[in-house]
Amino acid sequence: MRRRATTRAARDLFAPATEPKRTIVGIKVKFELNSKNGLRRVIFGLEKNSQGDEILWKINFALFERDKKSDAYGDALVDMAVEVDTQLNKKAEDTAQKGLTPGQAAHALGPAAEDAKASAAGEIDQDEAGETVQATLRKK
Amino acid sequence: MPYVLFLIFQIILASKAQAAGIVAADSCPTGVDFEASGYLIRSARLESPFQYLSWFRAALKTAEAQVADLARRPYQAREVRNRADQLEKLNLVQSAIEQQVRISLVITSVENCSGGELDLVYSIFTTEIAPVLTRTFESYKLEKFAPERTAGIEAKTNRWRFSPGFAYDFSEQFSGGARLEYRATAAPSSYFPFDSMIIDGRGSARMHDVSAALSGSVNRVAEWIPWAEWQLNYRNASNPTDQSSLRQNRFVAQSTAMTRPFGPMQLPFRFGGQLEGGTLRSHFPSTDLAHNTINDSGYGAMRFYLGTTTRLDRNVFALSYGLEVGSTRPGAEIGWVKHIGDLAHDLSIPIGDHRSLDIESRLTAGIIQVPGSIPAASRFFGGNREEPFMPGDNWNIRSNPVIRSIPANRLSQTDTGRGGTRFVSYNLTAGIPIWRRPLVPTELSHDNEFTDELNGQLQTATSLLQPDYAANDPHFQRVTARLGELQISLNELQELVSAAQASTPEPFAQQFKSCLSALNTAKRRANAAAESKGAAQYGDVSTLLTANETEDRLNKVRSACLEDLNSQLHDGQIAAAAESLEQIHSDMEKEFALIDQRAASKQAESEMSYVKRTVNSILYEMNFLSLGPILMFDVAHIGPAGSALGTRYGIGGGLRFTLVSHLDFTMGYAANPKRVTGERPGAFFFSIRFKDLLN
Repeated sequence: MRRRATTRAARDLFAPATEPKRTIVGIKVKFELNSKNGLRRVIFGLEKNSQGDEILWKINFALFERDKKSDAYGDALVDMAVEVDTQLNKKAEDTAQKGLTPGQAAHALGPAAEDAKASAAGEIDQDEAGETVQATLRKK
Repeated sequence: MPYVLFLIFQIILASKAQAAGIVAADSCPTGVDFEASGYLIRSARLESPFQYLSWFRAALKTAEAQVADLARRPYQAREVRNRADQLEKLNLVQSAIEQQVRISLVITSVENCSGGELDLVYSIFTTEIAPVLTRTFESYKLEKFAPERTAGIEAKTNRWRFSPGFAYDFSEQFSGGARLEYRATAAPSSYFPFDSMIIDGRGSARMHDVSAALSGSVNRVAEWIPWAEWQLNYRNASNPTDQSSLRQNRFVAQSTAMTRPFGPMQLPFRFGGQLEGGTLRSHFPSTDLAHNTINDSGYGAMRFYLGTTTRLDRNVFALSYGLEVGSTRPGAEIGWVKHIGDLAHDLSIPIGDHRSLDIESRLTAGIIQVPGSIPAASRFFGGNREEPFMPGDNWNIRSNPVIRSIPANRLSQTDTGRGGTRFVSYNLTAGIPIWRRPLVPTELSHDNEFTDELNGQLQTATSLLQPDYAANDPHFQRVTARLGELQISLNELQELVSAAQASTPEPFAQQFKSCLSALNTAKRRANAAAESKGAAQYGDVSTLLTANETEDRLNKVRSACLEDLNSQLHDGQIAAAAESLEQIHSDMEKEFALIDQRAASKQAESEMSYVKRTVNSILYEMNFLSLGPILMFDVAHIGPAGSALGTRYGIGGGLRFTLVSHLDFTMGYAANPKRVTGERPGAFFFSIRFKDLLN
């Protein structure tokens, strides 16, 4: 009897604090990363929604820059939102769950931002800028 | 008394409210399309682990209007998602300081699926993580009682906070007091650089300890000093010993700073100093004091401190050294020199869900050299009350022998009289929560998909920092040093190709177009690289090289202009210009390949490690309430004295209860197995700290 009580106490000690009772149907995770010099802000996020067996993913990436710390951030230089049906694209799910690689991050901060600025200034086509931004996810 | 009853009632309600957020009656099936199945939304509500903060609860209540109208309507997935989007944009936490990392989560879940109806719950988690102070030992100690501070949720400024507390110690008897604090968004002017005011007081029939402080702080003093603070502090205290009280009346001007992490272990350094002056009084019989020790005196002193602290996955430690140079005749002679060494270490061993065995160790030692004279109150007095070496909350250096089996300030007898000139003490406390409720609902923290996604986002954050560090590599600097030559070379080639185009027959039009297009894009990338800095420059330079396989602009120029166009054109000038360009390209590729990517990744991971630890701590370790036993072992020696007179032990146990919304309570008894005549067989103690009662 005493041994059973001890076993139960030990089992309780390692048991989860409470049993899960809810069903999660949607998750939105958003990160905001401010650069050390206070001149750049990157907002990236991931959204997953379940509707029965169908799972919808959305990946967001937005880049803001400003000239002085005292200025407010204006519109995003790069604002990318990719909706993916994971039943069709397993790679997108991997990207969503593993995050951007350093190469993808460098692409987003460099040429993607640069082309977005060039497009806004009328120096290049919007399609070309869009292609560079979308290439972020194709990179290794 | 009515207030105490009201408080207990409030605690019970808050505890139940939190529990209600964790446990639901009927579970809902997974893999069900609630819209197609025709479910009706019974109710829709918001919740957050930080809703125990009244201001956050009020903000949540206001935000609840965004979802309340979903109740009694059919479940529509798109509408449910739209509301989550709206909630994410609400920005419930608006801090005055822009922290480096901010994370927000909106979790949509359903519960109580019965009778074709369900309850819809939006859980909102927002955290702003301060990169500097969350690394410290003091921050770790605080987060169990005030997790909102670690999570950056308590950043509501311009308001008063009032936190009472009570304690018992045999020397001091029952004492009560409070801390009144006001924090402004920013200092009113550069001439008055203080943004907070703190009044802290505690008293009993036998003692009092009152202090008032004005303090200010700044983020990013320099690249290597991300944080500094300063303080003006006045203290008036009278603390009892077994023979006399130790009275202090002093004013302090203090400043401390913390560097960014250095070295292979990525340790930040803390340093600071203070000037103080005032009076120190006691009334020991002169026969009980050493010949160089005086009862009453004015004094002046300088203190300097240096240390390091860090948080690892399961360990947190702080190592500090303090130096005090004091005089009872300021400007005339050095009266005494005090050295303090303090090592604090906490180890947390997980042994279950939201439950870990916490082992806290503290080793402190001190020595006083007395070339002149010293007030008795400046010597070492030990017991179960800690005396901090410096004022302030963000850095704690213990400056006296702490032994919990002896009442406050009663470990003082030495061969030369009352008050030691050297000591060493070691304290060990082990505790484990037996009863606890997690701060974050376990259905979220146990959800593998959620964990994977969060880890993915943390990886993205690390990847976004990595190019900044790679850009600091000397090999990358050598790459960027060639950008000027590259721009000239690209221009030359473009001019030659344009000139050749004007005098070449139509059949090569497509090749010319491709070459000039490749040159234009490469030039644009090279110009952007030359004008940008840091991570952006790294990204722009990458586009010229094979490192960015989707761009690889210089190879595209070679391919279009040399291999496709000039292989048919056979223009000697273009060949020479392309050769020159290829030489620069080759040199840049070689240098770029030598960049220590692993070191850059390590630095980025180190910078993000505190964010990961904080997030993990909030999700998997923090409890809304916890209750558990503690075991204590202390040993202390005060001298000059042999072990018979100067060494004591303390062995005991107690109980610790924390309810993060309201209070932190500790009580215990420590036996004194090796006592001298007149000493008590042990000491009972308790302390209770209430959280801010005004909010």
